[in-house]
Amino acid sequence: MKILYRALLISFVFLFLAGSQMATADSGGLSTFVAVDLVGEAFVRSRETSSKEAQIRGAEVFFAAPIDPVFDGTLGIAAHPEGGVSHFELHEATISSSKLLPYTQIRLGQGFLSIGKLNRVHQHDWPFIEAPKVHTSFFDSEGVNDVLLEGTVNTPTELPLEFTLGVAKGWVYGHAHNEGKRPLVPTHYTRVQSFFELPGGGGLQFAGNYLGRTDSNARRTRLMGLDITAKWREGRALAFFLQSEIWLRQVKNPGVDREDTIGLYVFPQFNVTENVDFGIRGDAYSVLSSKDALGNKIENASSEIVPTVTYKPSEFSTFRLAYSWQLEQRGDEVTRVADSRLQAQITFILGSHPSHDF
Amino acid sequence: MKLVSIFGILAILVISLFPAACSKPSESKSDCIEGGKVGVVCFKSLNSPALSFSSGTINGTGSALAVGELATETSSGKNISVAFSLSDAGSLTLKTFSKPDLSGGVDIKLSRAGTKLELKFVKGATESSAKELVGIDASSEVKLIVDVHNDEDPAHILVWNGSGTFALETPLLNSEDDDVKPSGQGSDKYWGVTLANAKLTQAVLSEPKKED
Repeated sequence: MKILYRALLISFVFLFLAGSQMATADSGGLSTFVAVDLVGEAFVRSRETSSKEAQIRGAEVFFAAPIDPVFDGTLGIAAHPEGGVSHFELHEATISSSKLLPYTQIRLGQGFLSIGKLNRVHQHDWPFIEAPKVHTSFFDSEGVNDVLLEGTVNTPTELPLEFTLGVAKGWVYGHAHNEGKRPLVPTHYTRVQSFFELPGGGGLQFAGNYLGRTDSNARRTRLMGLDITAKWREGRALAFFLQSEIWLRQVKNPGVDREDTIGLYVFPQFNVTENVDFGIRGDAYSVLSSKDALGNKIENASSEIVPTVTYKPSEFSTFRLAYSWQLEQRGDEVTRVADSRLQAQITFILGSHPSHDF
Repeated sequence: MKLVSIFGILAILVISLFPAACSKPSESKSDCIEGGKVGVVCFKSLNSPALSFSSGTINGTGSALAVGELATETSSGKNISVAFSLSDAGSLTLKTFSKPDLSGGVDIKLSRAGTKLELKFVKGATESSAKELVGIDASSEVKLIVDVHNDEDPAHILVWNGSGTFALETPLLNSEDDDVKPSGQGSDKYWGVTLANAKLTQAVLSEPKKED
């Protein structure tokens, strides 16, 4: 795996040398935005958790600009509360170029891995308030963020195809309070995406994803997933929106049986009035390989239903109300409502926000 | 668009019925053979003839495996509330996120020296240094509330006094802020206890008290 790290370093040197030959003195065009995400809960009915007080879940500052005619740069920092105190952390610091190779964009630096749907979208841009369990469990509460080298190729074909191949440092994956350890196999991932138009002025984007890694304890993780996004517009309004992901995770620790887990969410949303949308998200999650210490299989499933109302007076502000019911079933227990709560969210953006993914 | 709308609604209904569809009872087998229950947790003796199970307690010297999983996923967290008593120089080891033979996990060893209760992390033949849990009288029944966050590396352990009012922000031990910490993560999702002249009287599982 030293070879991969050397490849990362060599790539960085190559990009620097290639760019330095074509750099000019003029690198204007800085765009900046600030995004604030405020959330709160009430009327919580749960055996295990209490309601979250209203808090600034995220405050993000983002800069993007051409560095020179060849390279573009980004810098994003975000504050999140931890232990009652907001801590700033680096979300994104990348150098990229779409001019080095034909039909190819190369991205190097720190950022969210270009995999899945939610993992590629900033938290304040999610179409719902809280992430589904499949995302928080397989990725993290916000997403997998790492030092990465990524290449995306858009094929000049009639059927648009976009291939992404990436490798990330992988010393940590998901939630961590330390710098982690050098993995045996770094995080590597790929995504194949396409798009086609649907009758009635609609469009459908769909993609297949794969991610793998082997950590320093020889624990091997594989993720395989599909994501789809569908939209229909009537005039300027988004008449119907559908977003869904399904993922399978396989985790193999040395000397123990492999753990297979499946999770998915489906979120259809309808436009009710000019600025009001109504959606209802359904989530499902199950550990397929669950068994007790005697080897008896344990049937298990958790699901969540989240009706959501969104008021969006402009692209710069969003007001959202949702109610979440979490259902659980395990072994011989009957299905029960494990948790229910009212959720609220306000987000606003100052400045110039980059264009959103489809 | 109508077709996709119908698909979306049907998908929601299917997903909402997902637990019901999976709720047929698993084949039940007696799960307290060669052991006994402590509260609702069923334990099985692991080749430990010097261990006795009676009246909702486990007493003596030996190892007992909890039949149910500690957690559904290995990379997750769980809280274990325990009550136990120790003879002088006795110990109780919580074996968490381990294999079914209780190896390969995050082991938390609680030992009595007079009235002091000391905590060590054990992994195989390796033991961490000991930390005294201040304010605990080991000569009487001890109640502890233990968070094991096995989704971090090394596993993140918090221990609170289970007697009196629970104070989330003042644990007896937070391995993240302490020199005494486990050396890694547990490799599977089972758990149990190893007793040495000890008596376990309570074992209750719940979600972690400390959210990360």
